[in-house]
Amino acid sequence: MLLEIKDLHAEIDGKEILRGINLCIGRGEVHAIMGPNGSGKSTLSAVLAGHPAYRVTQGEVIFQGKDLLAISPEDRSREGLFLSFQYPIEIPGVSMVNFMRAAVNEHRKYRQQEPMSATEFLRVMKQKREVVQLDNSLASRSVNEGFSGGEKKRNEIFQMAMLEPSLSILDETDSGLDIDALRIVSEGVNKLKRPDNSTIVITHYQRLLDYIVPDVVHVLYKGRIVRTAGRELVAELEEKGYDWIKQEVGE
Amino acid sequence: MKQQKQNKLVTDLLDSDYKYGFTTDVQTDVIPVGINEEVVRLISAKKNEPQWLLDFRLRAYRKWVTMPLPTWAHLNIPPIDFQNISYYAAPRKHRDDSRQIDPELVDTFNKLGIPLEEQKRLSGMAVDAVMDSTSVKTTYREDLAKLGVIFCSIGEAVQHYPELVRKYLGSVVSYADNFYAALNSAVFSDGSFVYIPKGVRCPMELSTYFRINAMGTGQFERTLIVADDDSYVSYLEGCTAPMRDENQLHAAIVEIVVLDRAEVKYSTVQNWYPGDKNGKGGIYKFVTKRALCQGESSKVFWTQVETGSAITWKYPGCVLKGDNSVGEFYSVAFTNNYQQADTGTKMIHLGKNTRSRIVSKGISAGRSQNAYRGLVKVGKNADGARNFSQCDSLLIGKQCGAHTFPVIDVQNPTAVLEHEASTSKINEDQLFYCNQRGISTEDAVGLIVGGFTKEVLNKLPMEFAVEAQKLLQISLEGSVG
Amino acid sequence: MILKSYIDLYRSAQDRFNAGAPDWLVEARRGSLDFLQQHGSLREAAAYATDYGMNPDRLQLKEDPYKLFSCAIPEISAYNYLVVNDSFCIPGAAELPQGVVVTSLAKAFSTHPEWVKRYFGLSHTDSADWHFNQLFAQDGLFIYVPQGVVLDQPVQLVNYMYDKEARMAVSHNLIVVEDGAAAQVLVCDHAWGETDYLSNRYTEVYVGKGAKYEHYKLESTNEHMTNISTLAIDQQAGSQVLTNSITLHGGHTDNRVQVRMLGEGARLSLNGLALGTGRQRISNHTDIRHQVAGAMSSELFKYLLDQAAQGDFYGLIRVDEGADRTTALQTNRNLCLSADARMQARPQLEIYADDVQCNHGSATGQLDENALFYMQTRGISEVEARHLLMSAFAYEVLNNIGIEKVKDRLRLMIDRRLRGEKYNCHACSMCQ
Repeated sequence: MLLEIKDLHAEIDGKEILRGINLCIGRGEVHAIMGPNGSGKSTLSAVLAGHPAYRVTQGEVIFQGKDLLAISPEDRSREGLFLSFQYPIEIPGVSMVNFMRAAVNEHRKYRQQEPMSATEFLRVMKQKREVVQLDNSLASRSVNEGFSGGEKKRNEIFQMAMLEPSLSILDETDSGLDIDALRIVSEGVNKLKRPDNSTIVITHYQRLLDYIVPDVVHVLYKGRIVRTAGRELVAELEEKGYDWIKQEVGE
Repeated sequence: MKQQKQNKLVTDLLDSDYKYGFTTDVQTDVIPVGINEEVVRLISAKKNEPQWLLDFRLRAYRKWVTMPLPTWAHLNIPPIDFQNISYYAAPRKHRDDSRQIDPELVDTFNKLGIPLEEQKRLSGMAVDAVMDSTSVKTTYREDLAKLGVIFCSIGEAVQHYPELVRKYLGSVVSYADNFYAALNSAVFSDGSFVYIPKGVRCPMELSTYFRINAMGTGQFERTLIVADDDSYVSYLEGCTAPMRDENQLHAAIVEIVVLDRAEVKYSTVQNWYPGDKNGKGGIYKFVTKRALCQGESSKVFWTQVETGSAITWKYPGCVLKGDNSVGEFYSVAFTNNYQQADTGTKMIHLGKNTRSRIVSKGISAGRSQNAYRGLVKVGKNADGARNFSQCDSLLIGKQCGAHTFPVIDVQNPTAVLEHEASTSKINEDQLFYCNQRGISTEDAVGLIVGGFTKEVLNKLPMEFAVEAQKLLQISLEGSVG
Repeated sequence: MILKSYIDLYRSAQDRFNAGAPDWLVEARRGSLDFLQQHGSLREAAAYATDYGMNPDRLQLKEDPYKLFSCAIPEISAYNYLVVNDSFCIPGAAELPQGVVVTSLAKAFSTHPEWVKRYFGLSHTDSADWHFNQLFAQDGLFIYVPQGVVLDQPVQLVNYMYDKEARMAVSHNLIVVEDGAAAQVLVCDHAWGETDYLSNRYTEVYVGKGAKYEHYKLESTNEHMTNISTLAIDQQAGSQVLTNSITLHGGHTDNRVQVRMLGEGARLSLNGLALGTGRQRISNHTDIRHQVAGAMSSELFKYLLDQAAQGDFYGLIRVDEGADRTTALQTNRNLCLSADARMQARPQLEIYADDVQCNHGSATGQLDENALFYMQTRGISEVEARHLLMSAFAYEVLNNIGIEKVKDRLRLMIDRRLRGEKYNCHACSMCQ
């Protein structure tokens, strides 16, 4: 088992958002988490990445045999957890090259590897850029600054390619993307798929899941997973919306 | 072509009239000019004050004589002869019925649009009218009393609620605070007193109208507002004065004490006589206004529209002492002809998670000088303090000045402060765009000034917003044919 | 009281202070003496209370100072000059472009008397600091770049404070860049040992029509240093000026830059960076006066304050009546990193013309928490993420530096400074 979430409760500013999440993800699996707005999808990804604004009040998360909640956000990253942000952060003045180089070398140090040489790094960067057709000029600019919505999302997948995570969480990666950008981003994700790495796709809509086909689909509602099924659930949700789920859980 | 229009606009602005420049013919009780300890004692005696208040005045007077005249403001202040001012003037009451107000006075306030007769009262607004140094009449008092709200002149409050006055008078603005505060503390005559008891939301706007009428007098009013725990009040202040060639001195103090979770809104539309277009006459206004957010989660909102006075020296401030307390300041200052304004605010963050916001809009025309001066200070213990300040200046004409003098002093690393300021003239592209759509330059300037000041005017209570808009319109009226 | 002891000192030793000074300067010093007696209020007056030694007799070091001290920023070719305390050390012959003069002010009094007389004191305003400097400054740097000449390499001036006992250095630099000429000057301030020093320096720069001038000041001294400097620049029509004052290490730094925009189309970029730790006090006071129409100025000052450092930024922009079509932009950004750090900012606009575009913005805060978290999710440690953000914050001030090598060097120095490493000038024999 790659990731195991048991009875996870979390709150922000004293307000409980996650109310007992249970979820298991095996190696090589693609899971989709769907749900109406405000159900706690983004909170789940933020809690897994270790955002300091959220407080876990109960439950545990085991990632590759380790207690994920006990380690710092940067160590979670180095352990192989990657979050593609719904709203990637702009960092004026810090160039993409310096940013990525710092990240890659910190990952290597964690694995007790030597830092990558500058030429080797640039070579790898060039190679990985092609995965999402990110051109060179973007890579030399400040992190996400002045990027369009599509460029920001491609930049997230580019970073994913650089860091080679074992678990990637794509938080609403399709939001704000036109159809071409959506295709480039999903093709990028699919190219990075290996038999031993896993993906959580968080989305509101079906359209991303036409490209990134999930093995398992979960519906998150009011901080709990209320339904889990195979990929056929996607079509059902698209057809009927979320109301029938709300009714089913007695709302 | 455009240049000519602009010049025409400027010329017409210079010519706009002051509409409140009449005088009222009532008998006035004025004491001889000059100031000394005897005068202070005389004022106190006329008002039948207790010993502690006389002592307070005397302490202030003795401090005042040792203080130098402040010169730091960006103002060119002609010498003021403090011995040539009368420090007390009161409309004389008819002897036969002391409860009756002189009909001339009622008429005056009617002309100003402030009916003192309660049957003609403004809907939902209680008024305290102050003529020269004395409170003339406070309306609606009984209705408010049922809720425990005290709204009366400060002279009456001294007689009827001495403990409250004694506890809070001078607690926010000390008599030694500055030169004009010391002078006011020595000779203050009247003003309003407000007390809102615990948990009461005052159901109507409380309003004071100040009017200088007598010649050769100064006005030294003093306002004290105390909002007890969980209470709320909105307070309005309006000011006018007759047109006179001489300069008249106005040195007021407003103190506001806000206790736990209470909220006070204080709005001013100041339209003292600004002097004529050659800079002759007009009120010199030196005012100290300060609110103490003493309680946790207390809130104060200052809103001011300043169009009058020859000289304005005024910095309504907030001392944010209680944790989570909030202070906001919204200001429009319009100066024309030879008017000078040096105005702004102070936000002193002392408590944790305190927040403040400053929005200042200055408009200068004619040969006027208009300065924003502000202090935002974050004390050592004010963790999580936040401030946002925005100061914009609009210049109409080539001979005026607009200045911005903020001071930002941060002693706590968790504070986040932002200050932005801009100065520009009326945008010619905007004027042209309006012209092209058939809007006259005069109306376009009105629209642009309206847009420029909207954020502040929106903060005023409805009745006042209308009045303030009218005031700005008058200033811009008849500008282009 | 403090000033009086200096006035007395001058009186008792005026022959020594005036030795070698031209008559007009001796005469002007009489005026300065009167001024100081009547309006004696120096900036940072308290700093003068220490009993500092001065050097009215211009005693020289026994050894060749160019062998003792060398603090060139490596890999840049520059004309190097050294001032030890306040004595300009004349180097061996350097090949300067045709007509360019770089020498000591004391020497220029006799070798180029007309030029010195014409430009000396042009920029001055009646301040006690000016008069104090005029009274005591006997030497400094003199640069003259004739009309149309472009100085091919920067002039690097290294000021070295070096004494075993408390020492005051009063110096005066005079830089003239004639019409259509161009020059770059890099001033580095260093101090030796644990002696108390006070430096009072006045630099006057005349920038002619269409001329270009760049001025960089880098301070890397220590906590015993009080560094009071004034840079006064007059800009003629169409001239372009860039200044950058960078304070890395120091005790008490008080930089004042005053610029007069005297000709249409003049452009100014005024920048500064202050990195403060310990009990450092860093003040930047800028005063830009737009006296004519159609000039443009922009200003960027940043402070990064840690431990008990204190920062003070005062930025005045004054637009005179008639100075229409002025554009003046001012930005001030500050980061306070510790509970004892203190920042005061006073961005001031005084506008007397209506056709202007003037803005200022000042913000004081901390590092962006969201950016920190984002970096952490990419595996970058908090310490490193903070470092990246602080460097990015600081580097912005370097963006418009025209000398690439200087920019690279400064990046490195800032990087080390932010990592808490004491920077030593690599090539400098005194620091090692």
